[in-house]
Amino acid sequence: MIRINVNLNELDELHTTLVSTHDKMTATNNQIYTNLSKLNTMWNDPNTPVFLNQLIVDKEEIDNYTQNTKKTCDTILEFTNDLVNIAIRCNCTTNSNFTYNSDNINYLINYCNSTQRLIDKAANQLSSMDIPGSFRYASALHNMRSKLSDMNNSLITDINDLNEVTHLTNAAYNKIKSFPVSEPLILKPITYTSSLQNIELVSSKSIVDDSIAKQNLNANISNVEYKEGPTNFNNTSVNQVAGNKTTNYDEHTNTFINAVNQKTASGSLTIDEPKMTFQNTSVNQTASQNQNNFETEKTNFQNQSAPQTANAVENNFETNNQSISKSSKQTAGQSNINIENTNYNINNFQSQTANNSNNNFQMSNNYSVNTSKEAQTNSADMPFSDQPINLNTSKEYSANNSNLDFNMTNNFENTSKAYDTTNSNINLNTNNQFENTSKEFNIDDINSNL
Amino acid sequence: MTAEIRRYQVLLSNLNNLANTIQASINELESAVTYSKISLNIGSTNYKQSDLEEMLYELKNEYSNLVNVYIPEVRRKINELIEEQRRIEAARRAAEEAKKKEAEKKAKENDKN
Repeated sequence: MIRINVNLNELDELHTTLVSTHDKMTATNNQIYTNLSKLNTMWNDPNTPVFLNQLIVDKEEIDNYTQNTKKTCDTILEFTNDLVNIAIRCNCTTNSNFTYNSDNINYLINYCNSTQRLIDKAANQLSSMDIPGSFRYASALHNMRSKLSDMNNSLITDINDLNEVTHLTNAAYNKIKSFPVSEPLILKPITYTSSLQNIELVSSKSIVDDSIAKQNLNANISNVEYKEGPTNFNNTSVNQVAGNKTTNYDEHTNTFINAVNQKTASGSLTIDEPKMTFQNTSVNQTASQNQNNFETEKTNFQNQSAPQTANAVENNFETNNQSISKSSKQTAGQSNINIENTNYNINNFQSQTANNSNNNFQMSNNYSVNTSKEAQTNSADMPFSDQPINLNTSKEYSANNSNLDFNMTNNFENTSKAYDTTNSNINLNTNNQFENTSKEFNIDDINSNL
Repeated sequence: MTAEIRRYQVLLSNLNNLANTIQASINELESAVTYSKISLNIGSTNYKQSDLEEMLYELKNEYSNLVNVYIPEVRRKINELIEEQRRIEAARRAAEEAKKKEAEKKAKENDKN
């Protein structure tokens, strides 16, 4: 059953209102999109592209929705026009109610049909009826027959009208009934890419990417965390005060030749010092890296004397003090060899018979130690001046358990094979006691700041 | 005479049938009018109601005429015709009676003679 109960005037007003609403919504949607699209940057927030893309999607959603509502408006207008046409067809007013019941009108049509059939029958009966001419109402009966024919014809027309109106009304109803219902407008919430749900200024407590940090931010802005890239910060000279200092000690060739030894040609103590490079890599050093290159070129301390048996000889070289260590083998006394400015104490070897001999070496740049066996320095002052002094420390000279005191300007480490400083105490006086004021003993560039 | 009476009697029968037919149509038409009031209403106008009601009115009139006028007239006519026929018949019989009596009287006279 189809029921229609509308007011054609109100239906027309509804259509007008919907059209107006649709137009306003379309204009508003366009305006919103146009204005918001101008936001092409929001403080370099990474959510800006997300927002703009969402804006485009939303605009399309709203456009689709408004298009559907427009179709709905058109359908309502069409329905209204259909009913108005029916009203015109029925010779009725077109701005008031329209009530329709399909079941009832079907009954109406059925009754009209049955009426029509009966009336037609009656008319036929009259037509076939033998009416005597003398009958008083013979003409009346003829008129009745005409009237019944007219009724029949009217009913047929009415039935046709009713059928047509029913068809039109049912069609109009079915047409608007079959129009798809518009889906409600639902805009999906924006899904931001970052964990931030709110758009905040960069200068706030936001975590900024490196790229952004490099772009605009001042490193001095507080509350900004910088994720710096891998930075290699190598402080290799925390303790360094100054730059590397290179202290080159270029010793000239110092040949300390024991004149005595030369004489004796034996029993000279030769100390062959190879090139020694001194590098201060110790952390404990308070000064910067110092490269003390002691190039004791050809600092030959040669004891040309016979092989020494200077084992377990304690050689004390002290610039300040003189100490004399006796070897076990020493049989001789001590011989103090005083070298001015560089007091070197030389042990007396066994062979040394320079007991209690003081050897004063005037350090021009020569100082010599005669510790050869054959050296007889007993009570002999051997002034050595300007003579090379050779201190020969042969292999046989084991400095083990020997105390070697080097009073030098720098810490001096002799790592020569011939000079085994293992288990040796090397007292290195950093005092620059090693001063060569002689001409022949030139130690250039003595810069020792230890 | 008899034929005419017969005719009117047929007419009467037909008219009675006609009355029944019209009566039935009236019933149907009245139902139609009733449904026309609740089927399609546009602007306080029930579609086809007036037309049907008008038809119904005419139909009822026709029926009323038929039943109240035409058929009685036929009956009256029939009665009249019957009466006429009876009268005629009676007159004929009277005439025959009189003729018979006349004949008998003559016969008696002849017999007297």
